[in-house]
Amino acid sequence: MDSRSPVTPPEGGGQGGSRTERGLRPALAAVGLVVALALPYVLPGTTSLLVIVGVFFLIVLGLNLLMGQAGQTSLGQTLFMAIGGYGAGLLALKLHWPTALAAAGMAVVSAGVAAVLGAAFLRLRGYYLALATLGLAVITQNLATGLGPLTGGPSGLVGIPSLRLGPIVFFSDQANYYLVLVVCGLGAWFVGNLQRGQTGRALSAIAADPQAAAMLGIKPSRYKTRAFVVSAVFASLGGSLYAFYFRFISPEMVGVTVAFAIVIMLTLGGARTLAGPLIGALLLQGLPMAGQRVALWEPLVAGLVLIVIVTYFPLGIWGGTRALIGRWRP
Amino acid sequence: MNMVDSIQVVLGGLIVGCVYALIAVGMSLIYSVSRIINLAQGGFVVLAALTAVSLQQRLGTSPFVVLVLVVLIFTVGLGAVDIVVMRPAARRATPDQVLLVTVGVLQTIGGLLLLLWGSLPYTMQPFTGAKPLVIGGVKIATQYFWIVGALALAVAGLWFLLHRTGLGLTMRATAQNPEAARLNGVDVDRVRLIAFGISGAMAALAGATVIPMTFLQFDTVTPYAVTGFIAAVIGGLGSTAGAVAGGLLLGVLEGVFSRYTSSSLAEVAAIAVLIILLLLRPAGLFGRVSEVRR
Repeated sequence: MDSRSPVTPPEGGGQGGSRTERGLRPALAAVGLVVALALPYVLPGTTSLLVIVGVFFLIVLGLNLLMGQAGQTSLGQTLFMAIGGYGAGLLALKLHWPTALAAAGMAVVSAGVAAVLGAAFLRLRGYYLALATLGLAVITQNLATGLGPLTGGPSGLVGIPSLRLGPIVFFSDQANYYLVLVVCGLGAWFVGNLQRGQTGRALSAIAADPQAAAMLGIKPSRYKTRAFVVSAVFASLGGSLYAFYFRFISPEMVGVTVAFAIVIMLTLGGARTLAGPLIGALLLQGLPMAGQRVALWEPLVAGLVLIVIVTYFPLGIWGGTRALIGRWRP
Repeated sequence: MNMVDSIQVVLGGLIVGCVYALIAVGMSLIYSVSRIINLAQGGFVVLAALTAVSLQQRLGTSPFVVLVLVVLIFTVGLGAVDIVVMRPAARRATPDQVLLVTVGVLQTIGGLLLLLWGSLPYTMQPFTGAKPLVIGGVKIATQYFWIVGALALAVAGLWFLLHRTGLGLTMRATAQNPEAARLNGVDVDRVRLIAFGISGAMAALAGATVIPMTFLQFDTVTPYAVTGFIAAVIGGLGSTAGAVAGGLLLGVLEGVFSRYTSSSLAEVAAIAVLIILLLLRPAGLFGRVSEVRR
């Protein structure tokens, strides 16, 4: 029963799509960009929410490569969020590093940690990997709480400065939104290229059948570790942006619940695509903002939706919709 | 730290360990007959505990009636969860995805607790008086006996079922080789349903007996789920004796660690042990290696 292959890739998922789709892509991207640029003016009240959605979109994008493409479930992305958030926050606050340098430095640290952990962890099969990374998530939250003198304990690290690039200080919601937009755009471009290119196909091959992939000369451990490193860098950058935006970071922001939420966002929206993570992040972060009553229901609904999606719609909302549209086409 | 204190710490750890052991035994049973890791098991313990509190408040009956009621409710309840959630998931999804489904169940339990009980912590009166027994300076709360009794009852009952009944033979056959059991006419779905029912009874026993000793609320589901799972892995998934040993060991370790540092750092140490164990001896103390590594 362990040999059942994971989700089959959606039509043209790794190959750049049909010709019409390829023609449409720049147009769609342009429309998306205009909408994204105009959003803070059209819906001024939601800018803060959009920043958070953007941060999680970035983190889920990174995980998409590891989980969606390579089929390796990681429940521990909050470890890298915490390295990025706490690390960059502390460097900027205590050692007065320039904020952008602190974020970049911590992304490098995260990459190193992921390379070391990946070499050890990615040997574990299927759900043992998921469980080892779940251990990382629990350790992360407990370290953030327990290392009081360094992290500020349960009440969190306060007084983190805003991100500063040369003369620009990203203090307002709007400035942060455009910053996150640029970073997400670059991230999506990078992941999109990687998915369509040779690396993406190698990762898909590993997800489908690691032994067959190895026989074709694809070294599963090397590619999986690379995907893990990329996902760690994305999570670390997301964590740094998160901390610089709120000028604060607490154990709850990198808690186990958040680790679950990241995986739920990816599964909900649909792995192996760029739109899926965005839809997932929007739904999961956006719903609680709809009101107090909705916020109370949100954990319950998120859990039920995860069960239904994983069981009946393994391609997620976006992947499922695309498959449906594909079926209608002559 | 003097002798009496040390004994007190170890004793407290063993009691917490009994609860972990009950969670781990339930997880281990489900894993052995279906290869499903039910992360939600620890969540059901908290749900059972708060159900017991509410039943006690509404009915005002003796805690033993409440205990029996909760065990019945959760035996049937987990059977229903198996039919409604796990059966379709196990048919359609890969093992990885089934694990995500149980994460979904865990999240759902947390959401249900938040919705029905709010975010305040709950506790309950001890079953038999709040006055502890004192033996040689060591305080033993009478509730300790109920917790140990619950674990003993669960393990003895499970052993009897597995080794002295026809149903148990079927279950052991399924655990050893599900495919071969199915070919011999065993209804594997029914075996899994029974395993879920039993694990529900165990979650109810753990929840209803531990709640007088602690405070539980919606966000305690994840720690219980994770620690119970760690206990099961330390013991080697699929082994009842291993699950009990793993649970007790973990409880004592946490108790001793938290003597010297904060409880959150104690948990870090416990989980670091798990991860190192997964990497060095992935089959646990009582299990087989081949299933874990590629």
